[in-house]
Amino acid sequence: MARGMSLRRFLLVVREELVYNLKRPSFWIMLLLVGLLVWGFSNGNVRVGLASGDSSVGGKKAYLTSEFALTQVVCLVSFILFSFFAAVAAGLAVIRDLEWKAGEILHATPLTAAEYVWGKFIGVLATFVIGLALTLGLMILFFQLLPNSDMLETRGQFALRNYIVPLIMMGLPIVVFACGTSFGVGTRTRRPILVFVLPIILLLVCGFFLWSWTPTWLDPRVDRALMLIDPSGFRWLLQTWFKIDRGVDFYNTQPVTWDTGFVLSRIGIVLVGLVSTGLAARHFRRTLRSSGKVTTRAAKSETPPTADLVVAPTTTTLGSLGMTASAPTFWRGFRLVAGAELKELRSSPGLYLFVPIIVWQTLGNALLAIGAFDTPLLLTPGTLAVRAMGSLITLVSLLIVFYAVESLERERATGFSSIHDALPVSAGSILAGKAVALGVVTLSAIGAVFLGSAIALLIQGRVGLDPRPFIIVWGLLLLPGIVMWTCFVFAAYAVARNRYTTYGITLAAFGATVYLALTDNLNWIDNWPLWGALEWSDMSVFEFDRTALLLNRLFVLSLAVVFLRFAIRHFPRRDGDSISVLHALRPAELFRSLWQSIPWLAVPILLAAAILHQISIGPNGDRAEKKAKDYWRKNLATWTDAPLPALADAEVDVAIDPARRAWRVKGQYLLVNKQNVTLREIPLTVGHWDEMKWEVNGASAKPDTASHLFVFTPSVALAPGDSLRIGFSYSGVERGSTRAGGGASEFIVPSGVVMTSFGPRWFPMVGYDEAIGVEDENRAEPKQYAKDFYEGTTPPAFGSQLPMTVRMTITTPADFTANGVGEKISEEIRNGLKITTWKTDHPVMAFNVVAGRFSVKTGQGTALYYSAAHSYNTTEMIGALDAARKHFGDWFAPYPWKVLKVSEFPALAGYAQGFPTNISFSEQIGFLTKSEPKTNLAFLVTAHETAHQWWGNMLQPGRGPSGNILSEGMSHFATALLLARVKGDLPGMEFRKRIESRYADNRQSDAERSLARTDGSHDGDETVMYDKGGFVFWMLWDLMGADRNFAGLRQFITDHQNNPDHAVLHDFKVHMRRYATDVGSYDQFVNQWLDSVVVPEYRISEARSVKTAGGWKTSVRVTNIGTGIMPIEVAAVIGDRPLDPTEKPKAAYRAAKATIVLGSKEWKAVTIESSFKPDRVVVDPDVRVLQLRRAAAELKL
Amino acid sequence: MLSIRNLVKVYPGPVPALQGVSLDVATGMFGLLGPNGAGKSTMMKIVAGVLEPTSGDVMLDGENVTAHPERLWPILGYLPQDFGFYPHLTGEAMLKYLLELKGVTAPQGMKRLVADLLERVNLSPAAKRKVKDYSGGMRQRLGIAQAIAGDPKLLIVDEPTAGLDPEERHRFYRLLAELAERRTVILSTHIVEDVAVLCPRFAVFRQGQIVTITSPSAARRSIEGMIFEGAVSGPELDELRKTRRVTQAYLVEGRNHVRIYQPDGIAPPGLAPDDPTLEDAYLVAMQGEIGTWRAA
Repeated sequence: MARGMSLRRFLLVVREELVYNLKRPSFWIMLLLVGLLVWGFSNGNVRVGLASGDSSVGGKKAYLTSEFALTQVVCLVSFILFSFFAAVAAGLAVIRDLEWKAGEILHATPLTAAEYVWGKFIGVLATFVIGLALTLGLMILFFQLLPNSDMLETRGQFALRNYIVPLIMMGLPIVVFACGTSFGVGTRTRRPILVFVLPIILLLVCGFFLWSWTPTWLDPRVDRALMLIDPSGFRWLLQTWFKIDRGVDFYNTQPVTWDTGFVLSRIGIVLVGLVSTGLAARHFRRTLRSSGKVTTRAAKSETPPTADLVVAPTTTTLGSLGMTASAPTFWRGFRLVAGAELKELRSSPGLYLFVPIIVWQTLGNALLAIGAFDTPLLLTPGTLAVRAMGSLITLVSLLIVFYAVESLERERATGFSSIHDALPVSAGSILAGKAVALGVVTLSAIGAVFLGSAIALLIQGRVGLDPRPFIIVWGLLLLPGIVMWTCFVFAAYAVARNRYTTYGITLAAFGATVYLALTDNLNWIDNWPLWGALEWSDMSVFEFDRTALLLNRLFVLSLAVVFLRFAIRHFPRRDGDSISVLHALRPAELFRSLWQSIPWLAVPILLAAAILHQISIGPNGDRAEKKAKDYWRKNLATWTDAPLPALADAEVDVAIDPARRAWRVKGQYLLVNKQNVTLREIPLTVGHWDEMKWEVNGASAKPDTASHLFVFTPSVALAPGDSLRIGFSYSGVERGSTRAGGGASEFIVPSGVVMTSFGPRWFPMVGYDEAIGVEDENRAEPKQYAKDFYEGTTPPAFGSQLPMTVRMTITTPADFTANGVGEKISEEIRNGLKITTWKTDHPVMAFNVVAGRFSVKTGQGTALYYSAAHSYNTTEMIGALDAARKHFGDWFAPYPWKVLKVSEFPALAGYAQGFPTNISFSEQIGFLTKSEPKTNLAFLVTAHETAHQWWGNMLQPGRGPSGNILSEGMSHFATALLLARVKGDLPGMEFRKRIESRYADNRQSDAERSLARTDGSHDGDETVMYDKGGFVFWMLWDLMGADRNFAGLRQFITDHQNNPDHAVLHDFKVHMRRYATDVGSYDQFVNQWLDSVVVPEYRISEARSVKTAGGWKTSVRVTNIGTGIMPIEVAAVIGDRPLDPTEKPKAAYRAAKATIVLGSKEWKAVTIESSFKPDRVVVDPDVRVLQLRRAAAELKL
Repeated sequence: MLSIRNLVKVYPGPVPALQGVSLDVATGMFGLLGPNGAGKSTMMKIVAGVLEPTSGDVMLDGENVTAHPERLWPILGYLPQDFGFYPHLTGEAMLKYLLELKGVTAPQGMKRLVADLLERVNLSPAAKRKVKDYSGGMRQRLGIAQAIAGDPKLLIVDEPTAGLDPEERHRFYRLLAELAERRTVILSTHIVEDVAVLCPRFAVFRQGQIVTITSPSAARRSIEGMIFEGAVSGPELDELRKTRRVTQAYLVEGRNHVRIYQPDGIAPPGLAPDDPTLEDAYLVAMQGEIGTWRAA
């Protein structure tokens, strides 16, 4: 602080600022919001995103009062609420005095710049420190004191430390940082808009990037750097303590350990705030009694200030000037205002600051998009445009709020309004002119993002720059939303007539939209930003839900007209006559205006009605949902797990009219009673079809449809072994729209078709579908399976009871290729239509149809059907298909079908499904995977999906715990083997590291059960089934040896094909034991990895390397701080093993290994002798044991 | 003809600013004279259509401009008491912008017209400087330039000479006098000299009401023979304040001079009769001697 500073004057400034801020309604509104948030946390309505624990009934629950939980609460509350309000209060502290013109008088007193600036800053800071203290009180009140019987299990013992430490480590630095940076920005620039936008930008950067961007391939050093620069500290908390779930017991009882780096970063965050204030003080002192810098050019050109003393010569009279005046037309006024606004914008530093931030934020999200198995996606113009749209419209809308309000307030703020308001230019011209300037802001942002996108595409170098998708997405879809939002802000200002209320109204409306989005309640009416409603497909440009999308954009534009008219009518050109708040609100005038607006509202009302109609007749419409709910209610008790006949043969003729999104089906099912009881009734679930006709054994039949299940009662009951044929014909059309867009997993659109037999949407389904009509309110607890549930006959997890034969005749437009299951036995063009017949050459468990306009690439008994524009990865994918067919055939079982096809479908969904012989891939799987020689990602996803031909089709897993692991886990295992076989050991290791990392990131330790008991119903089960399952099967293969393992697997598939008793993990482990050479090791392995939950976690310490006569001796201490007992290799290593085979290592890789066996919490000293000088020690260098935090099991010497 | 009828304005509080003002103003210059806070600016804003009255009407040639201020604005020249400009524009650019918004045209073209107007308010040398660098007087002159531009039927100037030096003030007087030849000009001021120089008729405002409407000469005549002036000592001044109606007390070369209103025309001891000024009349009126003026 400056010399000669008076503590008394400084404290006076502090007191004045503190008192002023404590009296501001915004401070108390903030505390109210804090109270609501804390209350929400206390009753479970608001959840801390990272809570550990088992959410199932009776599971262990995380305490809300633990230091970990409170650190999260404080972090979020401080950063989301305190940082915004504190930044605004601090940023405006000096600006406010300038606007009030109090500065000159204040600075004519002995008050120094330092006293003034630091006093202001400390005053604001003190306000929010008091706010933090009150937050502490609120947390103690809601979390500990107020009775809440529903949340007792989340309350631990009261410990003041748990509250205080997070406030000091998280809350305080955030507040100092927010106050200091915003104070610096406000004091230096004296522009309120920068002050308002700064915390929003910070929040977006953190929320959309720092807190969420954690791909598995991220370099740990980059990750660490991001943790330390995150002013909220939330990323550090997430990555350090929650990335790997340590279990409820740990979180509930242990304090947070703040590592040195993080503590230093918190100090750094505080220093940034203080230095920013210090710089602001210096700047303020320099500019206090000067008129600022004068450039050389300006100094030369400007007339000295004495100019106002120059006496002008006497001139002619005013009348001689011949002036006339007439009010400018709308267009002239508009042009003039727009010109002036643009000049103002050009001199606005915000534009130059925010546009790059928008580009960075928007493209950051779009460029870092990841697809299946965390694989990065190849960017195309369309995917880039859609992925960027959400961020772009969010940021531009917020920017428009601030720019629009500041633009509308400009005349008042500069004092120009007293002249401006009495000018003959119309309100329409003024608003239109300002709107155009805002349009330039929008277009600047969009243009800059487009430029960034173009550069990104050029750098990527694989996909050309096509501007059309950008024009469609940003021009036709995004801009109407921006126009409507701008008009809404204008209308809000016209009602509010002041800056802060307008902010309140518009941000509340924006917040309400966010709330609806977060609670999944947006629909085609209120989703004006189109958040989550769009799915880009290069193959099918917005064909799905197109009507609703068009109506939505027209609705938004019609609202824009209404808002604009309202804004023009009520735009404040003169101060109102009001003596009270109610009077100022002018309710009578507003109601009159609304009444007069009714004709204008007719268009949006009609459009909204049209949207509602579209939704109501669509798949999520009330009628469809009621029907589904009735179906569930009337059939659940009767038909769940009821014995059903098996579908043995299906003959289906399906004529598809993609342009009309319609289809017509004629066919028959051969049903065989494979049960040991007689079946008197045979239920079929059907879709929303028309013109339905039914036959049983060739005779016309009329099923009982009272319960929305079509129940056939044959004249002769179906005895065990008997069969009957049910014939059917019907037509269907995809009507209406979904409620909120976002794509679909199966569809008929003009450019592509995906139909499957998994549900009753397209084809009759035998039995009752337990998924129909189930929503959150009637969702049952997951089924509890007995320990010996696998005894007896286990039904299949999916597909038909037994493999069946299928013959499908598919009629499509002539330019379509229609793929079905089996072998294509005919294809002809008749009457301009293509008729393709597919017949299974070996039984299948399900069938599907994938059709579209395809190019084809064929391999050795394989074929890839893809959009001509998506040839980027086809060579790698067909290679993977060929390799998979060959090697999986060798390892697991010969491929029984003639052709193995992959067909691409529009990315209305992002999945792949391994139907027998006819695998369907979304564009986003494989075809648009960003694959490079060293990552092999397209190979990876193709291999996984192809493995399902064996693990999922030939071996159809059983229903119940662990069944799906034989499908997904085995497919990952097969992928790991194939990568190693085809690409080499290193890619195989890299794949194992990838799935190990996904498992570590996504597991929920308290909810995790053994592989044998994992059924997909618990949090974190997916990664257990896929990633842990895959790695464990690979470790078993490693343990047993390839020959024994493959022999066992081959026999396992053979045994379970055509077997009504479908396999689960129990069957697998019993079967494979017979092939184990060391049964003891096998049993120990199975006990640990299949029947228990263990994960080792290794640490190295005390490593040193000394030269010996024969070479080098490295000693090290290795500890297993995790669980499980495994033989583990420890290696002294030098050199690198680059993944890219074309890359030369800096030094040749050499490793000397020793193997130890370490149990849980055990340590051992290891000595490794090597002929070379190692530079590091690595535990498990070849990635053979699944473990946590592998990166920490390496130490440089 | 500008007609103001029963104009009432109440600010939140409630604070009455205008209490039923009625006034007719014909072509020519008309002054509103009154102390700060008397309601002059409020009335000017209402007449200019930038403030909504609580009740009452303003009619210009039969058109109700209270209900439709947008019909007034094309024929209005308005210089408010407090105003600002876009700080980043130059004086020339700001005036050009305003002229264009007002739809002002001239045979010599916009650029020349802007230069001429700036010359008339003596801002030509500062035409290229940004408005934010202008002094208070320069801003006032730029405001005057925009107000007199075009061919306004009604010109409202609120405290126009505030911040102007004597030279500029006289230049402005000449401009206004010229303008008032063919249109209605309403001048609001608390400076008596402005009214004395410019206004053939004026109204005196006090506490939201018109005290009187008169002319400067009539106002002076109404107190003719009742003003006495002389040099006095400090104690004598104090005594006179207690016993007489002192209209003005001021220093001349360090000595106290006093002017006293003596309705009976009998000279107080030591003071000599003097010609009344308009300021004497105004101050007498402000002291509540309304009847005197009405009689005049």
